[in-house]
Amino acid sequence: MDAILTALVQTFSAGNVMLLVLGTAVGILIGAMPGLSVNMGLALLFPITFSVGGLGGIIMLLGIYCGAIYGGSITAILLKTPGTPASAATTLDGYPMAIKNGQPGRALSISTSASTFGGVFSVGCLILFAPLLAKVALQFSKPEYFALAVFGISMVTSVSSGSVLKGIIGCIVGLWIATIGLDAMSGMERFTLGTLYLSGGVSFMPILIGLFALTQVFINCEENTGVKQVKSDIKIDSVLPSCADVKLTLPTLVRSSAIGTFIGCVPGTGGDIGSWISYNQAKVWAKDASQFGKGDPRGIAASESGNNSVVGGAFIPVLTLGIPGDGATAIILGALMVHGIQPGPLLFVNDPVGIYTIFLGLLAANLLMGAMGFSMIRVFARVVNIPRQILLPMIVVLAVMGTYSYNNSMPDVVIMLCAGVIGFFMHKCGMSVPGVIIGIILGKLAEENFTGSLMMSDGSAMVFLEHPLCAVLLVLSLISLFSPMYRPMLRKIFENR
Amino acid sequence: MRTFKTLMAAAVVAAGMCVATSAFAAYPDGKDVTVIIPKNPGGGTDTTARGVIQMMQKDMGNVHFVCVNKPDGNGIVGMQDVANAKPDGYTLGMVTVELDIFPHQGKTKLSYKDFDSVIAPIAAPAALIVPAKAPYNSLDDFIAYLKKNPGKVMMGNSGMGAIWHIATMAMEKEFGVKVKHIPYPKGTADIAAAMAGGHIDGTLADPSSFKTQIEAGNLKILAVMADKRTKMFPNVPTFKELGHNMAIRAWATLVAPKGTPADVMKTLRDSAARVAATPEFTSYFLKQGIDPTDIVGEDANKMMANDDAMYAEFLAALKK
Amino acid sequence: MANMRNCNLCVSALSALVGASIAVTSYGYGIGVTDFGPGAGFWPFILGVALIIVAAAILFDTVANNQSYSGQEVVLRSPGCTKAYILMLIVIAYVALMAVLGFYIASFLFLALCMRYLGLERKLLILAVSLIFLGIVWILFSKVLHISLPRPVFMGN
Repeated sequence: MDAILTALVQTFSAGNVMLLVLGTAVGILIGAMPGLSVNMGLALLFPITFSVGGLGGIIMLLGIYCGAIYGGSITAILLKTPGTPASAATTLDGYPMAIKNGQPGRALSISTSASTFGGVFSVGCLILFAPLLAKVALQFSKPEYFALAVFGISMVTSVSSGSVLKGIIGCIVGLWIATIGLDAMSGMERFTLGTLYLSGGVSFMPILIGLFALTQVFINCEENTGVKQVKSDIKIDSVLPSCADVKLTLPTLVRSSAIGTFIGCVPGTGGDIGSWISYNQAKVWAKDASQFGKGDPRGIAASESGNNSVVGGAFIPVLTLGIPGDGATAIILGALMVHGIQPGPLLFVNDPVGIYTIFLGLLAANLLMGAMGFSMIRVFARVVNIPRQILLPMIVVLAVMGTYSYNNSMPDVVIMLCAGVIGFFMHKCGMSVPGVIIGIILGKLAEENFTGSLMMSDGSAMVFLEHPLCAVLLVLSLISLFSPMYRPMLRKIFENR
Repeated sequence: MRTFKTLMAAAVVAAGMCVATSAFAAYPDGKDVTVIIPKNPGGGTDTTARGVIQMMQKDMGNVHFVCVNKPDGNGIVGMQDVANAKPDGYTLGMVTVELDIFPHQGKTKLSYKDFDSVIAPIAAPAALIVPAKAPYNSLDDFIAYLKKNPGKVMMGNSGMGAIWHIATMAMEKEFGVKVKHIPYPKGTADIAAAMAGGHIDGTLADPSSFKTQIEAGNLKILAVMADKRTKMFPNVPTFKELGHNMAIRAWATLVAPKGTPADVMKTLRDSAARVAATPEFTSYFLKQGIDPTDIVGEDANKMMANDDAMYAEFLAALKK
Repeated sequence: MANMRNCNLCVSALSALVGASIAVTSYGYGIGVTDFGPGAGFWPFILGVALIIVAAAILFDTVANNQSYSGQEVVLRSPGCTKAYILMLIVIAYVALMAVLGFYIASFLFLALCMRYLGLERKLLILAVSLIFLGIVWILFSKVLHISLPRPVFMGN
């Protein structure tokens, strides 16, 4: 009990609160800006944690982490450009609701509340179930990671709007793009055309920004030629989501937060995977999934709670095992260690104050992020009414800037450009984009763990069935892959009963 | 001390202004110095670099270091940019042990000869780490076990052809044993997770990612491939002590392009040496589980040259 | 005016082509499965073959539903499309120019030109928006975050 009180006093000292506010604000900004990644922001501000000294720096980093994952949803909803890869799924329903249905305030409020819910839920799981979840996460070896990746990939059939076959093509191309470069499993360079740039692989960010931001600019330009821009009447009565929306999205929120927390605690997987699987599961379990992709609030809720709940989940392996759940937690882990908090199995015993500080810091960061988000909704929603002639060029410049900043690489900008142009024609052909993104995100996870599993089993393919968790996930993947075929049939059967 | 420093700075600036027309300003003169880091932000090399640079900035006082991450092309692009930059001291970079490995794998024509070192703050040795419950408690026990079970023991590494794989292959060659190499491309954190979960039998890698597990008693270190025992684990013998002269370490060096003027190098090296002697430096690294080194200037050049020769010989022997 | 049927045939043909080249290249990397696991070409080979199979499926589907696909119009030539294509060219020019003139100069030119092209008449507004926007970017990126953006060729490092 003393430990909690000490932690409370320490965490909420005036200086630390200011740092938390600063960190969260900077995090939201970094998250909103496409190309500025969470890791970049954390690495940039990591040295400042030493000048500041004490726990303040750590608390600031927590604020940045939570804020950044939320911030991506703002640009995802308003500009169809995910500010971070974790918000890519939010564009599918966020953008249509904001722009096509003219309800930016509603979209933003659903996403803010979903993000906060997901974050708080995951911190709750962290506090209550960390050791238990960590045990489960440790069971994951290469076959299980492979099965998880396959599960993610199998969603392409249900997430592709329009032609499923063309969506699959996009996904396979995405999987292939992930193989370009130096193969760490064999040491061989593949598909590099002899260039140095390609030997490091094709960066994912430029393709993401190109396919979403740039393609949307071209589509907007075409669709709105000769059309006078109508100023939406954005009257936001309350920034909080309506009772109806809350009731509608609650089951989705809980389910997606659980999925996200679990994905977060499996080391090596992040918010991008969490948001896609949550989105897909929301679609699968929805009684009426016809509005998904057109502005269904559950789509936004699933994606945003799915990605923010990864935050708390990612701290589970960090605090219980001293092993980072993803790149961002690796940085925070380093900061914790430098400040004398030694995460790991001994932490709960040796340093209860340290642990409670992290819990409180995470909780506070999530709540603060929500508060900041809600307070800015009225401002953000106005973006919708910026004259198109001004907005579109600015988006292009932001896209270029963001892409370049990511790796300080001009070739990345060229790739983004190509992705933007190709994306425009893909849209014309009825090929949907999520498939490609899923392929690129999951390609390495799938292949490296497939190859790795076979290495561990001396080439025997039985390894996938011998690991029960893996086998279960693979079966679920098959079910998910063929769902567009049998779901209409199932629905008919249930309706006739 | 403060006043003295200010006076010195003022004197330098005044002198600089006097000879400004001949562009002979004292380095670094308050300008921005770019440090190119050929790795992703947040990784080991990145946080090491940012930490050292931050401390040097405080020490030197009249400089502003700007870090730029360029992980393209497995880091080769970033290292090339440093090598090709104007050698005036305003562009520095980090290079890692891969600089000594890649040329012999045909991946680049760059070599350590293109750079002049400032300081190598870390040189993590390959440590033989196994689960605590394993039946072997020393290097000899482990080798005996390997000889009885050829090709069965799974050793994790961070990628085929990368440094820890090479360390494992070196061990195989030295002792005449065979293991199963299992790559974990995302890095040593994944290897730590796999060992904690009991999915692999051991690894030869830098011990920093495993520190918490070792301290918790779930893993144990049997030996390290270094010249001297590590500060973090002073009870662990080196391979050298046990009769096998092997030293494989993953170092990162802050360098300037070859041809940077001697007085610029001196300023940087002196500052780095001062920083490396502070307790702040040591504790920054030790707390993260990294054994800091203070290999400055020409010593760092020598280290890079020695390692380059070693990898050249070893990789050529492997090809046969 | 194109229709969806032709689009599908195009997509199918392209995919099959890409799939075939991936499969052939992967074969060269080695696709056998040994004790040491699968060869480096194993996985991409499967991907290449899968592409060909799905391409065939699209072809099959298109032929089977010829009527309905032929009826779906795909707009590739219209005033809107033309505007989009020209915009693409402007963006390509912007990126090319950026390598030479540096980020800020190229962006300023691009912003001004693009806003004018998209129909904004008020020159003063164009100027103001461009300058203010780039000003904010400069403060944020150069001064606060110290993230470097491309420099003009004549300014060196």
